[in-house]
Amino acid sequence: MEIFLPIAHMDVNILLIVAFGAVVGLLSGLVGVGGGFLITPLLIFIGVPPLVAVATGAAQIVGTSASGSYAHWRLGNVDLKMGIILLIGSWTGGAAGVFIARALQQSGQFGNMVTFLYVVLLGFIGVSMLLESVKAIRNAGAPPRPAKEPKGIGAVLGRLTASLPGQMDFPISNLQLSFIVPLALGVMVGVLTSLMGVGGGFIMVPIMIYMLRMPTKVVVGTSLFQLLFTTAVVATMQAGINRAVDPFLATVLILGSAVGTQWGTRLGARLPAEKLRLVLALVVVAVAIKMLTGILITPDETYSMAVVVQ
Amino acid sequence: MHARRATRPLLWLALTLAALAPLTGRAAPDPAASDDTLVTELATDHVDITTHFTGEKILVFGAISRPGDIVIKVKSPTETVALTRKVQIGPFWLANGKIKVSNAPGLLYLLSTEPLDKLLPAAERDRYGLALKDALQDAKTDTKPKGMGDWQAAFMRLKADEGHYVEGQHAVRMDSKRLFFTSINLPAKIPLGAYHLEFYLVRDGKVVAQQTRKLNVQQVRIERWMSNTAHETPWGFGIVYTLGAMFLGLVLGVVLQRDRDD
Repeated sequence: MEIFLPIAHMDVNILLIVAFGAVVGLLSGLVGVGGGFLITPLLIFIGVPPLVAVATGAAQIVGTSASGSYAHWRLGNVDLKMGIILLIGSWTGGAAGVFIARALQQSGQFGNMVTFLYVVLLGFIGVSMLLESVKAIRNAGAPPRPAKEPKGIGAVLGRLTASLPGQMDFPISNLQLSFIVPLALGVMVGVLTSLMGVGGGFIMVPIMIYMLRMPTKVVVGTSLFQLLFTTAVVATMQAGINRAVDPFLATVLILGSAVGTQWGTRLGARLPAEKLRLVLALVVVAVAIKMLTGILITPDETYSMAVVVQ
Repeated sequence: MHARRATRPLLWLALTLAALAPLTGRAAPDPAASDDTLVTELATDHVDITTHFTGEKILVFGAISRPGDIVIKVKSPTETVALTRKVQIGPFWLANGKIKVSNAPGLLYLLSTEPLDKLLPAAERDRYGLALKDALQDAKTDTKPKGMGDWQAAFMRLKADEGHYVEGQHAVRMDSKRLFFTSINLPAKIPLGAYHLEFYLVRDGKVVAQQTRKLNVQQVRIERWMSNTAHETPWGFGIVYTLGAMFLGLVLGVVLQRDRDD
């Protein structure tokens, strides 16, 4: 069932896009990660222009994170003060990223940058997940060890952030922290949302849990809140400035992933968590390798052409 | 279905022949070149591009009063394309270099009964723009990179690969030396707008009669509305779509959650 995408300017099989949404939704339901970092590469693999893939990825996350954010908001799991500082950062970073994307697109370099960012990021995430899940499967059955005191980089960063100016109280997170830390974290995540079409939860969540030592349920609620409003602003800007959000593509992905997430959550309750993480790690590594080989193999045709819509 | 389709050209031809009968009769006694008559017809005057559009075959046919050869030029409105090139940098093949080419027809077909260089001398072909390379005659580029010849060759090659620039040297078929027919095979992705079809009747290295027709390629309904909105009011579109996505997400959350609780 082919449909023509008005912004991506190409034909796609609608069932394939539903399947992408469902598979990524399934994985995120199973493991509890966003999955935005899989959607964008998959779209690029089927020939969606990289900027459209990135912008549509952000729009897709708006749809998939809306109901979760609302649920956590109602449960009082959102540290609003922290969330707003994060948002100020991520809106700034996101806006900068949209203009960087435009400049790169105009010089024809956007595709290169996306490929490199994804190879590095997915390679890093995939390999560390792989190592961690292999370790977890080996240790299965052994009693969980108590969390270690942070050492090395973590401790240095901890001392550094404690000495920053602008210390503030965050009562909901039960934490005292300089506002510069969430602001900087927000900027970083915002840039990634604009340049990669990801929500950034995979960076945000570990930093909040392990570095800032925020309570886990507040981390989940606050990062979802931040992610929803960051992707919403970035998606709007990507449409407004780069005209790169494809409404058909994003809507089909939202529908597919909503269904996939439901299956994933149900299935995930019955399957062993370590093995699921291993599966996701393998998928992530495979996507990174596919992206890498894409720029290593000599292309049949070194030129390519795309219609410029004025 | 197929059988029915196959008979259609013949039906059209028969009708044209019937319509033309008095005309050929009149033209026959006087062999002067000025009396050459060219009658043409398209099976349709418009193509609707919908979300399900996967290309279309358009039957084109006509009749001539005296034997000759037929050349049909199909030209779409011009469009702007971005050409990018990959080069090997270290072990990686990376995009390096991009030019925008504007004012070249998005689609150009040259369909004829015989190869064009056999039918017309070079001067005549130039005069009527009957060569694919003429597509780049009025084209403009935003920059003038080194190796312009390579970029031009790549442009022509990619256009041919996409089925946008096509030379069909024996694409037009003659029937009993008076009737001709061919089909224009449009691929799935084609430029929009008014296409010009130019028909030339050629004899002894000269164009002796010509006629033009129009074919309107238009995007219909929601697709057109959607792409227009997204390009003409990008901010409005962005805000409305994003709010819509949020709303859709909330509704899906509620619906699927209820489904699970049952």
